[in-house]
Amino acid sequence: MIEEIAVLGILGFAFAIGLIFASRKFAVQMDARVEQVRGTLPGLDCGACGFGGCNDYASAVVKDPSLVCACKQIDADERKEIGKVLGIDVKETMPTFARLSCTGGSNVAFEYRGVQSCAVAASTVGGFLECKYGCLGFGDCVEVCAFDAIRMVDGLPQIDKKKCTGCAQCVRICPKKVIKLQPDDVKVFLFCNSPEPARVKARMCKKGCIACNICERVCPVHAIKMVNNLPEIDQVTCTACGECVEKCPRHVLELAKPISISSTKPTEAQVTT
Amino acid sequence: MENLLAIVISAVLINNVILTKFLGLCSFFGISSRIRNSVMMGLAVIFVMTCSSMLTWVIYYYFLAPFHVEYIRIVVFILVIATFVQLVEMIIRKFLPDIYRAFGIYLPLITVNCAILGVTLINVDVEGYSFVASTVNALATGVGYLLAIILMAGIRTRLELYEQPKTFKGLPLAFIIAALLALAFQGFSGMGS
Repeated sequence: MIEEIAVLGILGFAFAIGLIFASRKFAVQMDARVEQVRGTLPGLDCGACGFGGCNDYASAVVKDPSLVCACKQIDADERKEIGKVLGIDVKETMPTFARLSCTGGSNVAFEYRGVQSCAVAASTVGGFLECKYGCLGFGDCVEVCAFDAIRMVDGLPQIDKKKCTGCAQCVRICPKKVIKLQPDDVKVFLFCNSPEPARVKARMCKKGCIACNICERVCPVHAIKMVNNLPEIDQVTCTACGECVEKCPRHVLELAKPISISSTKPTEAQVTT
Repeated sequence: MENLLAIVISAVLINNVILTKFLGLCSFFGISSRIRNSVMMGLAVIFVMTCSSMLTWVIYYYFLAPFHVEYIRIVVFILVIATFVQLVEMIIRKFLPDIYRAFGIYLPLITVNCAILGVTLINVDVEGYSFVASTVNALATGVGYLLAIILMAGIRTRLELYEQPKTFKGLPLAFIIAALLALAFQGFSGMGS
């Protein structure tokens, strides 16, 4: 009995002393600001900032304050708070939202019966649509969205702008790159993605842009230029008059109504030190 | 030398710690959904298993045996393993922060991995190995763990691409796979003789 108590006692005591010394000797200095920044973050570990999680992001922000705009989940006030911790001023700019730039009008090239996933379908000779730039509609974006902002409606993802935080997870996962991140102040939005020549596009797609140049011609302020068989809209010159939207024979242009830039929405930020 | 080789083959294949002895199953199922993570876990297990079996062997023969209190070995071994993992965690955190972040939760998880305790007990109890033999046995058992968990992770990552019956999705299917793997490993059982 005595021996057991003695052996266990001595061992336990020796280990405890050893651990105490080790913890003193190997103590790691933590930057207190990392903890403070971490406390402000939502802790979802969504990875939209490009770091492994909120912890990694917090330590990165402390090292490089310009990264404060990388987190899409925090709002202006929380960003200000982080700015206060780090001793910088944070100025707000436009928020961004994800938008689908495809009307889903492409003809089907062959019947696809494989795994029901955009990524797998896209790796099978580029997908089953004639248009190689069209939305495949299996909803990889729906699954990746951490905010339940995307639903499939008639085979196309519909993005709920109220729920979208502009984290760009769907933009990254889409193998066809049909989801684009757009700043909230975009005036006219284009719903086609294909840089194919006009004749090819007209043959394979029932709804897409046919590069007819009408929008370029009707624009009163010459804000539209055809680049790669797609209209490129200069959002600064554009006056949102709606002329191109009205005249477009394929209805691939849309006047975007800006979603309220209220303080509850996450906003992009610029850093001035 | 031949004896050591026999120990290695026995520990890696014939008496694989997971698929034949069914030790350390919780981490085997918990961390086998991605190959990268399972490799990290396997390496951590190899490291802790080898070091702690060396440590426990010394303590068993030079501390417990002289006082004739071998029967409290389980308590002492758990104490040793826990302390050792704590110490290793501190050292890695201080000197190799990148590896510390990569190990993440796995290192503390190993503390309560029964495979580690199982090997240390087998070394001194069942087999009565010498110091070198028990070290080799622990190392080989760790390699066996690594082999099993990588096999499992590979199968599970492939399976994710296919449609799985709703009722079997996730853990149930993992158990069935583990059973089939264990069945396959039974094929090695005649190798020793």
